[in-house]
Amino acid sequence: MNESSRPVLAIRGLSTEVQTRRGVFRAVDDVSFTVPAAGKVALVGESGSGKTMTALSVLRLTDPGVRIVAGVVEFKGQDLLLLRENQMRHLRGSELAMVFQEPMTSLNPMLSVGYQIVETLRAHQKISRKQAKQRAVELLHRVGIPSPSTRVDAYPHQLSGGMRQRVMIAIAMGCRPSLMIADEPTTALDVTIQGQILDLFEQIREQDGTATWLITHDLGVVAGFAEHVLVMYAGQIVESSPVKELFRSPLHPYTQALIQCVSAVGVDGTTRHTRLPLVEGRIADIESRPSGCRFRPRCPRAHEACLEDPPWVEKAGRGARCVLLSEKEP
Amino acid sequence: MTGASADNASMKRRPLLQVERLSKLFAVSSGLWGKPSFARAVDDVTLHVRHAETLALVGESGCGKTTLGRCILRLIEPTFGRIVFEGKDLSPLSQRQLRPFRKQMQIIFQDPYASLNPRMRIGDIVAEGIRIHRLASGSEVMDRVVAVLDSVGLSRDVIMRYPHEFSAGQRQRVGMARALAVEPSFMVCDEPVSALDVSVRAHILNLLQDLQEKRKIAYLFISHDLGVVRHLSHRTAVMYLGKIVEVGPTDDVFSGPWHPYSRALLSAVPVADPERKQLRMVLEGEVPSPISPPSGCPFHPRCPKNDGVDCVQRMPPLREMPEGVHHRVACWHPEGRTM
Repeated sequence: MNESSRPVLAIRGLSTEVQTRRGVFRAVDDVSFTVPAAGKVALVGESGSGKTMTALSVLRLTDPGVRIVAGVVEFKGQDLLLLRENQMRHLRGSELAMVFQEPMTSLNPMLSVGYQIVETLRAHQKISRKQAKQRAVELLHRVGIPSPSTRVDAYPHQLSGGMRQRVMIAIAMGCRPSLMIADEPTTALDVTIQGQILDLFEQIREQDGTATWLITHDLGVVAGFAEHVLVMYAGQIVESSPVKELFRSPLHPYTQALIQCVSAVGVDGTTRHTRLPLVEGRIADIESRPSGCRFRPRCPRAHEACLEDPPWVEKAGRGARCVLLSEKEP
Repeated sequence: MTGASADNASMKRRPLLQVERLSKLFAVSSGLWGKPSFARAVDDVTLHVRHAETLALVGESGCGKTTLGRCILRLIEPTFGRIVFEGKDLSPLSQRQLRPFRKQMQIIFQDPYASLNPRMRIGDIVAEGIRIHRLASGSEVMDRVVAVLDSVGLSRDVIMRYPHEFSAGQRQRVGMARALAVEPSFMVCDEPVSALDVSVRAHILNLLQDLQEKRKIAYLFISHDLGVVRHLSHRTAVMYLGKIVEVGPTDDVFSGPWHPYSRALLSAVPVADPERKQLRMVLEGEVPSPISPPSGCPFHPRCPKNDGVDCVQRMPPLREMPEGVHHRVACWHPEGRTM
């Protein structure tokens, strides 16, 4: 492995449990993957698949009642799960940045955006208030906010959704992080703004070498942005693949169904007014997951062997959690 | 005088719904002593919807598409304009006089959590419209409820249950059953699948199509998801800052948009194919505020074809384009080129 492809983040066997009134359930189950330095990795899944919980576990920002029960989260060589809380706090926002879906709830409405950028910069770097303010203007300029020297004194409600998300990214990139975790960063935005924001992540990667871990439900965004894709279903990674191969020949029946669902409703209009392909049923509730393969009740190719836990089968840099792959050898 | 037969023929040709020069202004207070200013959420919109047709209304958030949908149903009172439904002008009618039309015109909402009363059982939610419009009485009410639930793919077991017991997709089915229970001929669908996961979305889209075929319902389909719009709609209207800037048959609008904004919007849609390099048309800046909209064409500050004269001074009218039938565009410099 050469220097540039050494992973910035390596997760091995991460498991997280949630305590509910009806017992303890696994929201994240034995998740392993890596994010290469300056790489672009996407974690895709539908709601309730556990993708956000995976990110929160890595950042150690889970709610009380949620417990990380196993795994190693190696960030630039150190296991985040073994760090003390104050060490962790030092990493978050500097080396390890995050951008969330709803910029209005992540920003403090009582403070100007400049103050919030300065606050983050000064928490991690020894610079004066004046220098920090100057840097805040620079950052706002870099994320494409027009007239940054006046906008630095604006309050979040005075900015549009796209502008607020840019401010969030300015805060996140302030300390030149090695990894940016972006949880549905474009979901609340319009398509024309969505493209601008994704371009911004690409630009930050090129200029600062920041790796991006994108969490999304939108396969269209994944196709245009990521290099490597992980598909999550009911708490588990079910497929891991470079992006081209994933869309060209998805291995797992769930990925196949998802891609079929999405490409059937494309703007190219090849399937107008026809009936759409369906995935029967819905994601099993965390409290009532089926035994064996969790996709089994919805899978068109389910058979007896699927009652057992499916193996993780790896082939040529790709992998999937499905018994069908180990059965038929090409 | 024309005879009854000619009258009948014009009845058939007449669209189900005609919206004429509709505007909605919202008063925006500007400080304690300031003069109130107005936001033009919907600005001089004219459109029609034919029987059993789907007209899609697309545009980015804040363009006024939801306000327009609600004005048509008079859930929001329009400031100016006429709404003609089956030949009858609804705009001057009182709420009481509107009631028979409410049976004809229904709505389903985006958020299947907020749009169902959590304290009502599913059976009562669906039966409410039937009771109000006296479409059935006694035990017939529940027979109708069961029938309409069945048509949206829900079994009779759900009648006694509450909304919180259901998934988002099932709640959307309940919302559809409530609308269908009074047998409308026109339905506003306001982002009906935006809150749903892709694997659930397909079920609801198929259902909407089936219902249109069986019951001949016309839809005004409001959505920002252009893939869904192309799949489902017959005609598409593109809105920008309260105005319709392009309207035409869906295939024509998607394969050969004339308005620069339509082109930019379409080019921005992410395509689920990593091997197709997308040529995104990047727009400068953001949508201006409807409180102080730009002069002339509302799109001119962001438009690559802005000529600095006509575009800045005069609002272009919706004009018929030479190619295609009934494809109209509001632009001084329309550019017909396939995408």
